[in-house]
Amino acid sequence: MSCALARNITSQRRGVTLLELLVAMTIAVIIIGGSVTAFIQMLRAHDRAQARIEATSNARSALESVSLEFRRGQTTNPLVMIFDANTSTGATLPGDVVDQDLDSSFDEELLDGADDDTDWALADDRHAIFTTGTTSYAERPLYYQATDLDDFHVDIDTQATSASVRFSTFDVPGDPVNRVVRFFVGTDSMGEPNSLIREVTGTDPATSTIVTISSPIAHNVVSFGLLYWDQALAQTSTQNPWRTSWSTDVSATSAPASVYMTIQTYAGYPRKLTELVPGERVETISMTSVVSIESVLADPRYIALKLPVNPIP
Amino acid sequence: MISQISPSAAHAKNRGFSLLEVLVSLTILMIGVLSIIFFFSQPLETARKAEYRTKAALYAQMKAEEIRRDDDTSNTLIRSIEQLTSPTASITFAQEPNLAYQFSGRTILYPGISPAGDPGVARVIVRYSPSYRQSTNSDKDVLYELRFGP
Repeated sequence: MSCALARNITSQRRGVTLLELLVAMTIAVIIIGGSVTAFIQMLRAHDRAQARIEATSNARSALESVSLEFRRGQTTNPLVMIFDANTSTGATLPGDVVDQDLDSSFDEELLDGADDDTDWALADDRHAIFTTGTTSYAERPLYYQATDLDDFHVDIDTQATSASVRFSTFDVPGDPVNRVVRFFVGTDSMGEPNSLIREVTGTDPATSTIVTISSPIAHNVVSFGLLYWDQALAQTSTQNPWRTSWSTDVSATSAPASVYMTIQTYAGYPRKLTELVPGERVETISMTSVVSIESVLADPRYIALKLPVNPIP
Repeated sequence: MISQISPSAAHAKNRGFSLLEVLVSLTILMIGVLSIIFFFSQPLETARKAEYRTKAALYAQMKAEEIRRDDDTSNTLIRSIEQLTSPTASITFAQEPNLAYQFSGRTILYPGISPAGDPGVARVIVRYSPSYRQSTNSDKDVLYELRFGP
């Protein structure tokens, strides 16, 4: 009887066979492996999303900071309104290496408000029409006939540019007086390259000495480009009203009426911008806006150059 | 004989799972896994939305500044936008094919809210372009609305 009991206990605790163990382990490994892979993928996706969010906020805050200073720009100070030309950053970063305008070549455009790769067609000229009653007006009337930045295939697939700009602004409380602001892409005081830097130069009212305050307003900047609206050119029907460079003596209005700003920030992960090799695809966030210099819009010299807004026949 | 186990009882102990049980447990497992994947994909979706909203704000500003710059001295363009009772046809931004803009004198985002929803104020309305996303209620595609004046 004791023997039978022992045998019964043995049969109840007989364990698993090798085959069962192998099958169970295989299934477990497949499930665990799959879950871990999926989890790692999710973490990577999250990090990529995080990189894009950071690049987006970087680009937005930079553009807003630049816009704010342009709005404050003033023309009564005869000293400064100097905009250096957009310079291509060359072979290191040709652009984002993405074919935005789907013409099977990439980064072939220069930021100049013109159709450099000659793929512009009349159908690309898209403007809103405002019809009230029997009268219709068009957004940016077509009689300019010049290409403009919002027309498809113009300055869309652009090369990386690095602009710098220097202009005088109205005084800001807490800042040096007679301030001159400069924006450029360079290395900041912490040694971080590809930073968009705002440099304020002015007279310290307390000590009457010239001081310069420099601070980075965006990092990982791949491209920073500016174009300047020349109302004198806009009056002609054949010329591109956007200038790539400007100095105070170029135009009767002494400063551009508005400035087209574009910034591309690096949104790649996990490698740093400086680790990329030339020709490699660069994951970027691209932001664009236009800002007007308020003191120019109110300037009688600019108002004298304004065109009448003709109804569409 | 207390140690005697009937063959049928032994069989009942080792009978394994029925197909139904397996299917039910797999379904529960899949629901769990899918919901986890869904929750993990939310940050990506949110990040994309945030990016479009940010761009929408900048592009709306761009359009308003262009109108102000190109308008004549009596603000004919802005006055005619103010009188629009329905938005103009949406035009896709060249810089971002997934977003489009319209002009209107009436609000879409803030009906009944004063002063944000006041009629007779020029507005730029930025929405997802129809090629990117089109919901049955087209008002839901609106991302941003910017009021502007001369």
